[in-house]
Amino acid sequence: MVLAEGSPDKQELEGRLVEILHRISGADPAAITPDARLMEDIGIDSLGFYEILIEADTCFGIRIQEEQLLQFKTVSDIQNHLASLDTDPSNAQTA
Amino acid sequence: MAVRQHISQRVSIVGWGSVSPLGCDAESTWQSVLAGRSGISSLTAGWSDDLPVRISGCVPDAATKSLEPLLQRRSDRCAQLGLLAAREAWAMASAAIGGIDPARVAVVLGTGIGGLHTMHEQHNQLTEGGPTRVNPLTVPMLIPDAAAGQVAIDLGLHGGAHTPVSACASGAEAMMLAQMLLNDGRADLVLAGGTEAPVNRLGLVGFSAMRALSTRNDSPEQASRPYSKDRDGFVLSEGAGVLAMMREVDTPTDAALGWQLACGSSSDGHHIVAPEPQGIQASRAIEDALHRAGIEPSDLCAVQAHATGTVLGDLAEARSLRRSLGHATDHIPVFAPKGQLGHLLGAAGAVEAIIGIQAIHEGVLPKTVNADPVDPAIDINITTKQAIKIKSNKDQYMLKNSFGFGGHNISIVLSASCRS
Repeated sequence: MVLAEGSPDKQELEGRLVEILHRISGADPAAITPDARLMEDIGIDSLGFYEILIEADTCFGIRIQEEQLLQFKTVSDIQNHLASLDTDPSNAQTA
Repeated sequence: MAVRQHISQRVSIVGWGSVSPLGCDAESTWQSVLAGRSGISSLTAGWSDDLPVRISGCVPDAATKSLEPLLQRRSDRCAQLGLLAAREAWAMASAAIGGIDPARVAVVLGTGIGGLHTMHEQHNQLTEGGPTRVNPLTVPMLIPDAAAGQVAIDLGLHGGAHTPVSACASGAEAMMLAQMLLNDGRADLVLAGGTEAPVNRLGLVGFSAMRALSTRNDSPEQASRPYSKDRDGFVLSEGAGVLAMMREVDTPTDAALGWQLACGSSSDGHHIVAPEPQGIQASRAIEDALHRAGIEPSDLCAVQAHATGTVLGDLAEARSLRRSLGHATDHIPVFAPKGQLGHLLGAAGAVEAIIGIQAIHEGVLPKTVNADPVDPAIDINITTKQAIKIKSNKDQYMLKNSFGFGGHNISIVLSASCRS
């Protein structure tokens, strides 16, 4: 599944991000709120962060830079980052 | 230097678990063995269409689907199967023993290959998607010790986690190491066995390329033919078996399902895959096991053979049995479970050992499916026609063989009280 054409609206992107984080962590989707902390609240470990990187590439066609990845603390950090890339197409690469 | 062999302190088996092509647990596997069912079937998935071998023994889907989604995502099928068997064995042992200190429980879970599916899948990711698409869990999922580690994590055990890797002898070697750990006082209970999940393109092609597999694609249920004159190789299968073992002196009354008296071992030192044709070193393992168990060949009620259905391997094993058991060979029935299971590689020893103890306990040595007509060069007493009743109400002894590529030979003496 690659979003090579057009861009997902914010709500769709958030929904799919929750789905990805649920798959990676096994956490209850209801607990994956914007304020939830990735490690402490959702249980994503260090390898899980790199899974996020692959899933963003595979599902959204977005390559998150590693230095950005390691700064994510909460779900909204990822959402905001994806949204910022989405508004600047030059930053997004399709798979 | 004088050879010193000690009589081993036998250990009790207080629980077990298995997942196999014949069932999702140890009891259903045993019932399928008794019923003469085959676990071998045709592969129907598209990925097998162009393969020279399109048959295998697969664990029912329901087994792994019962695992938590995160475990399904973050562990290879090899570890998943091992975990299922270990959970079953642990639940059974916990119910029988109670109050087990997790710091004194060790895991010894062998495998022949480990996470082959992950290796294959992630290599495809690398070649098709590039380096950025390779799963960060690739290494922790494919390493052979992943199953032992996952079991220790899942059950919260801290007495050591070990992974013997000796190809198709791995599960039996795990049982040998378990006895050593117990008798060395390093653990009070050991979950020991093997797991394997080789049924994928790379696994099938790899074994097929060396002409180790049966090519009876049109008759899968007849393909695995241990000791038969028509045998043409083994059938690749998956599964896992785990036995919970403890020192006999620590075992509560009536908690033992059976006993492991002793294990013998040797190495062929001959060829990386071909067995030494006369079975001379296999004989040494058999005689080592009998000696350490303190019994004679005439004390055996049965032999459970390794017998994979390869031309060379079956013949070498039959010669080793004839050499080691002497005249007693004429009277000791030999059962080869791979006719129904196929070859579970590193899981075979443990899954089959559980079946062996169930057989003694129930007083029934199953029929060896597909052995008939037996190769005239095989001069042992195989249960080709029907199951055989194991008589007597005293403890009975069974010899169990497991051999692996690399020339690993393990023989085990098992026992149980026959209830009939």
